[in-house]
Amino acid sequence: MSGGRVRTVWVPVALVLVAIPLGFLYVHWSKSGPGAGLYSRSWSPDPVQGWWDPGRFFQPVQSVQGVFAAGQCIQCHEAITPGIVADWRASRHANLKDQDPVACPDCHGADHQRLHLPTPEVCGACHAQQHGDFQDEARYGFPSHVLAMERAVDAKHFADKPKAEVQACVQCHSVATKCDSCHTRHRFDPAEARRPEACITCHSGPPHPDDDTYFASAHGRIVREEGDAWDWSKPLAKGNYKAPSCAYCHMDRGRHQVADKSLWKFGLLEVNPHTSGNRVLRERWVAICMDCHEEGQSRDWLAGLDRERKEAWGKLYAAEDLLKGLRSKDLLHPGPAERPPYPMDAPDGLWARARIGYYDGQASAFYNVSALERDYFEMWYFDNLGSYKAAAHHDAEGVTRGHAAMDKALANIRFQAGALRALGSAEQARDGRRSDPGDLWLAGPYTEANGAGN
Amino acid sequence: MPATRLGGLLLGAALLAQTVPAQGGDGPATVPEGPFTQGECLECHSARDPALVAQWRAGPHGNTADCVACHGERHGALHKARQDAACTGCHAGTVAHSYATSKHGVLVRIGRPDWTRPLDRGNYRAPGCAYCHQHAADHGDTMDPGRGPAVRDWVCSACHAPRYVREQLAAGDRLADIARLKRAEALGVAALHPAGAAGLADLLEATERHLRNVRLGAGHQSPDYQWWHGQPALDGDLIRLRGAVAQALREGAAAQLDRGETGIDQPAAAGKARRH
Repeated sequence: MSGGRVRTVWVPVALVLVAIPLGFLYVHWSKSGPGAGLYSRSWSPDPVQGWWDPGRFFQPVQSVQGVFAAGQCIQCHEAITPGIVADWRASRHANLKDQDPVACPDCHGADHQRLHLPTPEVCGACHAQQHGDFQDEARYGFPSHVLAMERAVDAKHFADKPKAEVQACVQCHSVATKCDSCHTRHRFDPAEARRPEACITCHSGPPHPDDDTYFASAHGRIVREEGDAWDWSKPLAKGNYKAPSCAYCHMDRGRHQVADKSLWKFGLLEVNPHTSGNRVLRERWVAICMDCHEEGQSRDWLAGLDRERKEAWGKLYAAEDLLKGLRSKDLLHPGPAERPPYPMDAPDGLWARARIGYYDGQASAFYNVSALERDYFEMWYFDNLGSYKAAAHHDAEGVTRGHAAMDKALANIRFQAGALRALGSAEQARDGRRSDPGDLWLAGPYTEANGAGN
Repeated sequence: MPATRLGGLLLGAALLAQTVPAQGGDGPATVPEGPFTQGECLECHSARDPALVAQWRAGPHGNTADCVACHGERHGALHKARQDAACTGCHAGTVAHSYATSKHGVLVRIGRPDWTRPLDRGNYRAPGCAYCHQHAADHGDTMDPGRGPAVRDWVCSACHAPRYVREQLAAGDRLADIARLKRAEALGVAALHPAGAAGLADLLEATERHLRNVRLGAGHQSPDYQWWHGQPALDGDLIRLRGAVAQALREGAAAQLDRGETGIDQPAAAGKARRH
């Protein structure tokens, strides 16, 4: 073998062998900052982050010293926080058959200066099956509960925006880092989590109107009318409920797993429903519907959802085409280089580009963009996801409303794009380049405070 | 618990006790059932509970909601004023919705509380409207910022650790401060419109509404009002205001260039210089 041939084989192999460990080292390094996640070196936690992500950030109070037994905890806290003691007394933890109660130190520790808030691992020490189901979600990727905190802190805007502002995010994304999002403390009642109301604190609002769309459906209307009289202590199994709650379908049979049937991926990106993997997921849905409905009807409904998605993505891609056309001619204003230098935009210094479409970081395109990009963000994230939720939950009026909103948004984007092209070409003809009204985007009390604080 | 913190809580309790007149449940058994008119309520209670009546008159409901509006006409059902439904008839819309989607609102909705119990520490699993706002028979607004932080700390800390309460309330204040900065930024941007801010009234009104959503979200602990109905909505308002002002400036510049006058290209260079 000649020297040249040896080099053509071994040089790439050596480079790969160096590059892979270097890649791992870089990710490890980038995750080891004061914050959390991929951008952990770009932010430090807000003081309240410890309540939402206790495993990483909770600091126990140092002003009370001592190691306490359950009786002593209760004696003090009956006066300090009577509500939670009363709640715990009514819980299953306090009333186990033939067993000592699960009491304060079992979950929080006994040394008051080293107290901890229970993470899923703490709960999982006893509730191994549920914790196992929950962790298993990770292999299905986003969206899921178990990866929700990672999703939040790895978003560009989590690093970019004031930490006191993005505290609003982790109040819901903490579903990954503690169990009381669904089983509120200190009752931790499974019956509570089986009711649809347990989900609506997070599953509401423009991008995920699960509450409105579900309660507008036949399922939701039955639960709203009659659900107060039902026995929610029954397991989520066939025959136990006249109509399904959120958990009945999404956490069927009480499995702590919402991701293993995630076929349409929240409506966030286009999926091909006919891959072999997605056919398996569809069978899981059909099996659940068939607890109450006939097979043919179940399949028809799911096919209706496929058609709704196809139609929605036709509209979204039409809008993306218009925006990408403007981007290619530098007609979006402000262009990426004319926006405030948010920390996560630093790599854009090398390659400035507008973020249009899911793989361009569309999920962060709600701030620091041009008006037209924001319009598309709302079309994609509010109108489209609203339509998807309505279609998935069988809220026919919601689908009509969502698609009307998408049509209107697309017509508006088309009109605005025309205006931008006309303005741009008029400026080009007169001045040879686009005029720019200056630092309009770069100044203002919020923009400056964020720049200084970040 | 350090002495200062305990002192703060006790102070909160004392402040609240001062503002709340002594109360004897739902009234003595000898009182006839009713129905009573507002005039009849006041005829007795001005003598029996003068402090309570004075507190109601001086409070936010003094001119807007009378005894019957919240309590109904009959003595046997006076405690209906403790239920959320007594409030949401008037306080509908975003006020009620931001609470209803909070964990507090959800737990009250599904929890079937025993409303005959006084609105006091340890009596309720989660707070309804009146538990916080008319705490322990307060006939003003217990959550009025003018009452000071110690009163709030006291009410919340029946169920939450004192440090949790302090830190969460402070976080809510910071969140609202950020929203106020955005509103100030919006006013500044609108003032740059060549034709004045009058044509931007709708967008400016939206910033006011979204700022209010942030405050409601923080106060009622509704993440969705803090976030999707609040902060990103304000971001959108700012973007649209800037878009409208920029377009007007560019169209004005194009018209000026048409007439051979100087454009407005100077600031553009400054803007780019700051970026790189």
